[in-house]
Parts: sequence; structure tokens; C-alpha cells
Amino acid sequence: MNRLVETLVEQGKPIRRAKESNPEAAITYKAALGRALCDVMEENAKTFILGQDVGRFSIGGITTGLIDSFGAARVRDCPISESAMIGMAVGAAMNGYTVVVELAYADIAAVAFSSIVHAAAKIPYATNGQLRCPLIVRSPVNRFSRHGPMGTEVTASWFYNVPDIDIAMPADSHEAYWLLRHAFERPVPTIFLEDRSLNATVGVIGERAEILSRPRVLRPGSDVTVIGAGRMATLALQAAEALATARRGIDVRVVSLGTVKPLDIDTVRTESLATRRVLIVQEEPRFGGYGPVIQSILAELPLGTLKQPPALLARPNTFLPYNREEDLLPSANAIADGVRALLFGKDEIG
Amino acid sequence: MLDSRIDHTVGTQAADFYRLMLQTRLFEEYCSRLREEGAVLGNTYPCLGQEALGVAGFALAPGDALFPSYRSRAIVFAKGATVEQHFRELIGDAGAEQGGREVFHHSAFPRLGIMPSSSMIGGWAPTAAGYALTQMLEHAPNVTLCVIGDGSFGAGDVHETLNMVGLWKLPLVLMVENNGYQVSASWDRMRQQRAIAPYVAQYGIVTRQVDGNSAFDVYDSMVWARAQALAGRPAMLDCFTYRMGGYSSHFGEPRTGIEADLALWRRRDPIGAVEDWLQSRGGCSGKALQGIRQQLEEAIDAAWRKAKEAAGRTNDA
Repeated sequence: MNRLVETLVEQGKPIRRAKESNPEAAITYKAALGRALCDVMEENAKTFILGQDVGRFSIGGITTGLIDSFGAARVRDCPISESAMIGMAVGAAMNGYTVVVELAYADIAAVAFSSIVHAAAKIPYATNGQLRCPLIVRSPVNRFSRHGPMGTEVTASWFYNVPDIDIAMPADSHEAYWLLRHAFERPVPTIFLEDRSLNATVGVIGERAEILSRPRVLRPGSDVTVIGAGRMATLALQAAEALATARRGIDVRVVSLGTVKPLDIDTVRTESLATRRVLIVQEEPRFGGYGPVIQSILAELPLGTLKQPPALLARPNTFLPYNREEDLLPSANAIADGVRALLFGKDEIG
Repeated sequence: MLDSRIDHTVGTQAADFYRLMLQTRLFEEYCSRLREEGAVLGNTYPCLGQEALGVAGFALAPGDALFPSYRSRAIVFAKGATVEQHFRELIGDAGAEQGGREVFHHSAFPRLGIMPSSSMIGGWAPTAAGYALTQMLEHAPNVTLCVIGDGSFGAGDVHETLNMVGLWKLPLVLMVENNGYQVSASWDRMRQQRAIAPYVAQYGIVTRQVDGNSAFDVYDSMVWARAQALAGRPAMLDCFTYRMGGYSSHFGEPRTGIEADLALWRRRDPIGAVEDWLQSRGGCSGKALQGIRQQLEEAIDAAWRKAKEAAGRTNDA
């Protein structure tokens, strides 16, 4: 782990840029997000941050130190006015800027839905491409923070059916860094669902992939393909490790989507055909989001292409409670059960 | 009604004001006829009686940005969009700027600094403020003018935005088309005071109540407001006026019991006022004014024919 970066972040010092530090060094998910912001703001003067407590005090810790490097004009503490903040980011985009709006947590996007959908997403369409409105809505997923039904949501499915919006769900430090950088290069708004429960996880920021939005194979495997995004991909990896060492060793292929929208259909299809058995894992209920969409795409394959119909493991159709929210969410054990069910049938699962 | 303070600055512009306002009125009437005849797809939102607000556009610099309301035809013309461009949008021509995707009263012409309006009433206020923020960050010698109706006062976005505009001293001018109505509902059913300025002043915005039916007052006030905004004092013009026509072509006049108001405001007709000025103080004959009217009518008719031809070419291609 790159203790230096972590320490600097904690002390409120400027974050070191990736090219100045050892690229092989491990870095936390949280520090990778901060580093991406720092690198982009240094490279592009036409970027700034809007949020509540993002400046002198960084409530989420991601922007710590940025105000010292880039000043209060570019790291702007705002009133509790998320709809106006995102609307302002749209106006700034009309003049060539890319603004990052930090929400306190993902659920808050609800009060800014109109600015995101009717302004950011629709204006480029409505003006026939005369205007572009790239912006980044950093939407931290607050699960396990004991915030109850209004402070724990994953919101990908809320926006999944809105055209011209990107949705990113980074699973590790590499994706946290590169998908955030990718969002700055996109011509459309990005809902960036970084997951606070992954903040302390440590990984390496690898080389820039040729196509940043392409799903990654986190673990090769030949028996079953498990597809997930964000924390679900990390749980799939845990399940795969457990299954590999179990009595009847199972070789699970784990695919991390990273960019859940636009969905890279070709890669999803290719990775599904690699094992011909597919389990999709989604943290939201099954009535929207990437899970049912991948299922429907795979359902269009010729009969017999897959050995089993693609399975979807999703949370029940309910909100998340203050106490025992984890009981409702897909777990590594549930993923392992789902894999075994695909291979051996449901009777095999005790 | 006319303010003698500003005769020397605007005297030579009175004819331009007249031309802009009359063009706007004739255009709105032309569009209503097209709609009645079924010659166009969409509804129109005429700004009849509010044409004087458009001359504020003459006080803007080319680099200033304009975020109009959907009832701001006059100011959009003043900023440089043409009648023919508007007709092409009204037709929904795939070869027009919006490509037939957006209703014509939301049309944007970014190359002219004209930005889109929205169906989300007041939703363009934060967008305008964001544009103004970038002007401030770049130390540009420019302002952003955001136009809203007084019905937008109910929108949360407007209040969130004005708080930040005042706080950050953005180079923004807010112009309120205070016509006193939200579709059919008069202002007194929607808020305590008709004037918007007293509410807005508390956000740290300098305000001025404007005779929205006096082109001279509107122009003079916009010159003042622009200078204020550039000096770090965001400004608001509370332009009192009256909607002399319906809300839109969706339905007939939705207001009842307004006959006396209509008669009163007809006497304050903004076009008539400038016509009087041109005749009494501008040395302009009635014949000359009639000539301008005829010229505009012919130009609008020609623009419609050209727009139809252009749309035909797009369809053939």
C-alpha cells in the first residue's frame, strides 16, 4: 500500500500525481479517486469541483488537499443546492468546462434528477449536437454506513433507461482511477458510483487500457462466468477463490463491468461464451439495471448456445433497512450457491 | 412614460427598437395564423405586448450569453437569430439547427450566444449561472443574461441559483418578464407581492423595477444591469408588463375578467409608445412608419417561403 499517498491525503497535503510516483505501488481505492481528480485538474484548467464540504474540510476525504493545489475558485464549497449545482455544471459545459459535482451520497441524485436528465443528458440531443454537456456526478454508494433507506442506495438503475448518460461502477483501485479519468474524456454526463465500502481496499493502478470502458476479466475460468459491477465484482472474486479451493473445485471466470452504461455488449457476449454458463450479480432489485439487460441480451443467443439460461442474483424488491441491510444484499456465499446451482442444479445446494 | 434622461443615448436607436418590436409582433401573429391553418406542427407561445423586453438584447455584447425564456422571441431576434431560422425550427426541418428535435421556442443558437430554454420552468437559471461562473473564472469582459417569467418564482431551481449567484457575485443579469400570470392564475394567487425584486434583493442581487412596456426604460436598465454585473454586482431587472395574448396556441384565452386590464395595457402598448416617440420627437412621418411595417411584413412572408423551400430540400435529400 502506498502509505505516503495515504498519509498526505490524511494530512491535507497535495496528492502526488501518478507519473511522479511508482506506478507499481499499491494504492487504496479512495486515494486512487483523489489521484485521478488531481491529475485531471492539473492537466486541464477547464475543470473544477462543486460539492458540499469538498474544500477546507473534505467530508468524503476524496478531495482532501485539492484546494491547496488548485485554490478555492476550482474547489468550490456549495450550499445544499444539488439541482442548481448540476445545472451549473451543465452551463459550464456549454462554455467548454468539465465539472465534477460531488454528492454527499448517491441517493441525493433524486433531488437533482431534472438537472441530470432534462438538462445534462437531453440538451446535446435537443440542440442536435450544437452543445455538449459532459459532467461528472460523483455519487458515493453509502452502503453499510447505517444511513437507512435514504442513504444507502446504488442508483444505476434509476438512470439506466436514460439515453446519453454513462454510468460507472469501479470495483478496484485501477478502475477507480481510470474510469474517473475516462469520465472526463466523455462527451456525455457520467453518474460515477464509487463505493465507500471499497475505500480502504488496496490495489495497483495498471497501464491505461486501450478502451477504458471495456469490462475486465478479473479472474480467468472455464466453468461459469460471473458478471458484476463495483462491489458485486469483488464479491464474485471472493466466491471464485472459495469455489476453486472447495472439494469439488470449480473454475469461475469473473468479469468486472466497470462501465455499466453504455454496456459493452460484445465483450459481455464473448465472456459469456467462454464458459457457456452465466451468473449476473446486481445489488439493486431485478426490475432495472445491467442485470436484466444482460439477461435479455444473452436470451437472444441461438438456443443451445448457453448450457443454462443466464441466471440473475439480485436484491429482493425492497429498500435497505438501517439494521441488517446486509441480509438483503447478494453475498459471496449466495454467489457461490448460484454458481453451484448453474453447474449441478438447485438440489445440490444445501 | 418615456424617460427624457436617456434621449441622447437611445434617440438614434428608437427606429431599431421599433423595427425589432414590430417584427416580433408580426412574426408572432404570422405563427399563430400558421398554427390555425395547420401549416405547422407545434404550438406557439406568443409574447404579444411584451415586445419591448427584447431591446435588452441590443445592450448585450457579442460575447455575452443569453438564456431566454420560451416567451422571449424579441430578445432572441435582437441577439441575432433570424425569422427564417425560427420558421425552420417551427417546421421541424431536419436541416435546421435543432434538426427537428426540439420545439422552436426552446431553440438554441450557440454560435450567436443564444442558449436553450427548457420545459422545466426555471431550469435554465442554474445553467445560466454556470455559464456566468466560467465567465468569471476566465475574467471575461462578458455577462450572462437569464430571462425568466414571474411564474418561475415558484421554482426551487431559481432560488437555489440566486442564492449562489449573490454569494459568488457572478456576472449574471436576471431579467423577469413580470406579466403577472402563470397560465391562467394571476400573481396574487401565487405569491404575496407582485414585485419579484424585493425577494431577490435578499440574495445579494441589485435590483431595479422596470417599465417593461417602455423600450427606452428596458434598454437603459439593461445597460445599467450589465455594468453592475461586470463590476461584481449581479443584477436583476423586474420588468412589469402584461401578456396581451393567450398562454399558448394549445387553448384559447385562459384568463377571465381581464377586459379592463387589457384595455389599460393596450393604452400602454410598447410599439405604440415608440411609434409616438418617432413621430413626435424623431421626425418620422406616418408614411415612413407604414413603410417599415410593409417592409417587415414582406420580409416575414419571404422568410416563411424560404424556410419552406429549405425544408423541402432537406426532405428531398
